[in-house]
Amino acid sequence: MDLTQNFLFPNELHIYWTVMIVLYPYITGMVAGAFIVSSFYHVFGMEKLKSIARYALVASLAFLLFATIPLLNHLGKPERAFNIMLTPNFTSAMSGFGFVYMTYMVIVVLEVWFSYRSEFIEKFNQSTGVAKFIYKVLILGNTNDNENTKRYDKKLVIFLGGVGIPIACILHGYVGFLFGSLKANLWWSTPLMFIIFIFSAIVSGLAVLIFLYLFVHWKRKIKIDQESIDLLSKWLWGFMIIAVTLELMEVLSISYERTARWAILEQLINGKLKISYLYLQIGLFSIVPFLMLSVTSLAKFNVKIRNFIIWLASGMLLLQVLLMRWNVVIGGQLVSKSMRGFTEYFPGYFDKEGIIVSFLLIFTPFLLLRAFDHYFPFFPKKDK
Amino acid sequence: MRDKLHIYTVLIILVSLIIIAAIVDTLLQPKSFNEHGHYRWDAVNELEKQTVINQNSKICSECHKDIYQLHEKDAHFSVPCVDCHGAGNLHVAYHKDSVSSNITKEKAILKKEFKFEGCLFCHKKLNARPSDFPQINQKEHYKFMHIIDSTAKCIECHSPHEPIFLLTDSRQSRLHPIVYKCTDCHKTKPKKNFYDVADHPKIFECKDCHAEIVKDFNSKPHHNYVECRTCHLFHKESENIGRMYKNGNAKFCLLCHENKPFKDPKYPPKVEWPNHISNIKSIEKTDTKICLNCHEKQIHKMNLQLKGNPHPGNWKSEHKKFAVNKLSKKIDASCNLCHQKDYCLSCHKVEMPHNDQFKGDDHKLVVQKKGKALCYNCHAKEFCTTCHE
Repeated sequence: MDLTQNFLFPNELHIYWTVMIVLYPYITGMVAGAFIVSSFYHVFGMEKLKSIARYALVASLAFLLFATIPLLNHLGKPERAFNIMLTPNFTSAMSGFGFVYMTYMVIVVLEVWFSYRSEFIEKFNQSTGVAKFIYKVLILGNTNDNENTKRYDKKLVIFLGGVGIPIACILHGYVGFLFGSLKANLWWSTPLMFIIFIFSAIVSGLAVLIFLYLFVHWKRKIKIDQESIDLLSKWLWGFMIIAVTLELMEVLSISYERTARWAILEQLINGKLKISYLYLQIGLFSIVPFLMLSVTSLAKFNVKIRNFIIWLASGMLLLQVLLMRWNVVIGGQLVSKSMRGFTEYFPGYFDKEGIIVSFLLIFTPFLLLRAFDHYFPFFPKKDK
Repeated sequence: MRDKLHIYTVLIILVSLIIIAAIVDTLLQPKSFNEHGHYRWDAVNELEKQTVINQNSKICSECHKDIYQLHEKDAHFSVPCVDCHGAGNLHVAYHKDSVSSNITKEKAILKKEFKFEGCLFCHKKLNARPSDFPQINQKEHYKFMHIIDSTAKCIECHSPHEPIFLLTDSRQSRLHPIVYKCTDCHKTKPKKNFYDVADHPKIFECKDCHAEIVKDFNSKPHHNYVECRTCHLFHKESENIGRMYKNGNAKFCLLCHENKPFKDPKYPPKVEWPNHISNIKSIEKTDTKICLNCHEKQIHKMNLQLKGNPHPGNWKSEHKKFAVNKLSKKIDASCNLCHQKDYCLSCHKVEMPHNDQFKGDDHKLVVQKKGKALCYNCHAKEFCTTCHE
């Protein structure tokens, strides 16, 4: 069926930045969000988040390891990825991601290493054979673990967390900048884009942590650190208000200006993006979680019900951020540069950049997180 | 110190990694990188040396002359073979020398697969395409053609090599003027504006010049379903001229009227081909306008004897006197009012009428390259001696 509309240039029939480019800022957002949450404890010393800090840090690393996979799948020829290291181009906005990503990777890996050093040494002492050798490499042959080393490690974790916060903001802000700086695209071109991306990143980071935390605790039937969850859910509530308000204010500002681009963007919002943006992103997945979190943040009632509502709201906000990425990345490409027509996009189910591959890419970091949890449990297996 | 050892170890590893990366970068960075910009200069030379694998259509014509002639004649003449069939280098190499080329027969086979996207890449209806470029909305096209099977392929009706079954070479098709300015019809620009003149057309349509034929056509059944340009395909070439593709080919009529399994059998009226004409002995089977011989009356009045020459008499031998301006006694550019510049050149092999430089040194070059015989096509042999000894 022909779903293209009105005036479309022949090279606009297909969109070029596919669902993979939707996933890349989505996963990167969770990286930045989770890291910022972990830093609240490590850097700012919020004791209430102690139980969740290390889990947030490792979650950040797990997502970070997979952040580039959608890009590599989209571009093809992944073996060429390292060429940008051999021939770095410091004036390219796109290669900027490589440099920021690498810096951030070093910081997160080091922070995880210093956080888990004592556990690594403990495992080294307990294990035998190949595992012992692996742990020996992991601890760099140094088994010295005492109060002094722990103090130094903690200091370094604070330092790395402090350096990591601006880098995390730059990492995800950069993704927003890349879209926002494309002046040819009517839907993307706004200096507010990188701020919206940073706030939505924090929302997705908080949401994924709460969602997983509550799910694992419910599954393992272990005690929930209610103070921590209440605090996180309030932050989630606050950050989602800022993120959604910024997005809406951006649209409102374009609408109020009534510049030439609004004529077509209005049609985009009321036409091609009606379901994914108006009904789902703003309606179902923003307003409903907002109301749910308002209730859990302001009213006091049964803890189990409250936790269930928080869990449901965080799941919905995860989808909200995914929809926001979709509406930005795909929505911006659906509009013709002529400002008079629209194209159509569906990723396909079994395509190289299709829906099945997308789901696999989203779930792989969670599997890695589960594997890490197997060796270095974030939470106790059962209540003692 | 001992308690900070692991921190120093990490720092040393980090610094070492940076140093190693810098060394690796220096060693592995391509030689000519950054010589002339942020790219590898040698790549330019390497690309230059690459063998061209796309085969020129003329190479294809060496073996597939019949298809090539059809393809060159019809509307797809500007679409090279490689666009649909792929590069063709293996195919050509194999058929030139199957033994030493080390190419298997399977690899040498050219692709012929049909995909809707293949045709629709150019012919999908888009407002951004020039309106006279043939383009369809697949759904509407099938509805108009009464095709009941939506999976029916384009090539079931249209041959990719001969998509609209033109009777003559598309590049030699008749040039048809577009009335664009007042002086296209009037000798001098009229004083009145056209909207001040009663019954003056605002936009010129077929009926404004071909009133009798259009009136006749409007009284015939075809007029209810098709318009003039459905059969008289017109391709605009500039603001004031275009080409009217000569039609009437039986295969063109059969696009709508041939009975095929994927078409509605009842409407429009269908015939079984070639059974439909097999029993009619009175007609010449090789006549390309075979349908019009009997069904002319259902379309409009037409002179089937007219063989494509819009000019009266023995035009080829007499056209010179029409090209001479009676007042200036010189050949002027009046041909160019209807014909493109290269139209005259295609027979005369030299620009017509000759430009001013031609009388200077230019004609010497032409004589050197093409010989005096070319001049004698129009000029008497004594013509040269009026200036030269």
